[in-house]
Amino acid sequence: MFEQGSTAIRLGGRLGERAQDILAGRRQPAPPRDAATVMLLRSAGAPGADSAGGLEVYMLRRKSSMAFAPGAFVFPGGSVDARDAEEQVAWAGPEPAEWGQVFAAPPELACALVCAAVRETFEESGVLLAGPSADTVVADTTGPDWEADRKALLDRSLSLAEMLGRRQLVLRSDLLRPWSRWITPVVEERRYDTRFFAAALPDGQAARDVGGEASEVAWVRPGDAIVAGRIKEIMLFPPTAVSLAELAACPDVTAALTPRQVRPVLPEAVMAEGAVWLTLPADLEYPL
Amino acid sequence: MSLDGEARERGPSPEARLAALGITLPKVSPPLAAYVPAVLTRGYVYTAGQLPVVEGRLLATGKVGAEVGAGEASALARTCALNALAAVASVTSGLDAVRRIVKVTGFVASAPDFTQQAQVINGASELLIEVFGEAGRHARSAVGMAVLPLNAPVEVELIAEVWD
Repeated sequence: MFEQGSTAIRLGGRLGERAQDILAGRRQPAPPRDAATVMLLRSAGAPGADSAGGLEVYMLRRKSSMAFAPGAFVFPGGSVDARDAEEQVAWAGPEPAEWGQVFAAPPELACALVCAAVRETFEESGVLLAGPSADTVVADTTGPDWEADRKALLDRSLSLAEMLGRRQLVLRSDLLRPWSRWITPVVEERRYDTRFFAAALPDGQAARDVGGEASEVAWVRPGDAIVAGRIKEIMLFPPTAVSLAELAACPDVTAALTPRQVRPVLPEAVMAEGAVWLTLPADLEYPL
Repeated sequence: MSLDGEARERGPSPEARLAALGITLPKVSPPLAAYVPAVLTRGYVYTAGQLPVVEGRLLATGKVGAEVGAGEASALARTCALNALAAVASVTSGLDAVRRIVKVTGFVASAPDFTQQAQVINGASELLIEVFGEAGRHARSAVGMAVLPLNAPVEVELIAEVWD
């Protein structure tokens, strides 16, 4: 049942009881919701800084009032919205069908996932992976009109397709790379089928402090975030921790954007030693 | 011999030695299972088998002599012993209630050709002597296993005698 070298993490408290019920078949697991998350990357060591290369990733701390993962440090992301797939978006780069092959999803869902990735990135960082043409990106998204659009996206009065259409922008799916796919364990109350993407911060754009879901945002070196997680300075969920370890193994942004195989990871919940444990596949490095 | 004399002969208390070693006993979480972490009966505490778990995380998995080295496994056995002491403390007034460690059984998930189970379980035995001094010396079995729960490399259980 256990793979050699797999990681085991004990679940406690209410989740433990819920897990027992689900493992015993007394309760149905929640169906996972489709979601997208984006690891926005930039080169570390801006001019004048003393750091020697490497990369930084944009992270935000979820507000402690949030229902899912309060206080955790995460990458921008969220559930696919009904409005993500409702209209045609001007599209550059790999077509939805191609994304669908990578993420084992029909083209409509793949399109919605990529739209959700672009939308959530804009909502939670102000960075927009779109441009006036297939080979340009929006230069500056800092004006008050952009902030109004961002707020309208957040309250769902505006869809990504509407915003891009009104501004005559093309979604740049070529700026995204598929990274991984994590499905929340069956024992959890809120479950997501999350496709992880990576993207470089486009030239000329800057992430800005955004309100909404975050109480804190930061560009961090993946290795530093792992250390902070180890000493419990910040809270990291297993998918975030594993992704940070994967990023830490990349020497620079270019290396991080080389194509990767995506296979779904569903951490298994098992009863053992008087507790419920989550186990991760043996070949994933769990750095905490 | 008076009780006072006996207490003096015992030297620093186990709790004091633990503090001097900079060790804090972990909390014992009640198992969601048909057993308890430890049973106190007729002056003896019997613990359940303890895995090398710290703060809910199994520190390593795999077979000793293959994925896990003997030295690393010995450190894991020390963690198992510490968890066993926490289990003892959970059914007594604390480690100062322990008169002596009687018996330790160590299970080592072993690669087929691995035969140094004794060296691995020394990690547990040495901790017990550090904490209890002479009273920490115990009878012991150190055995090789094909596999342990959660693919843990080491598991340790013990029997302790408590003061009347």
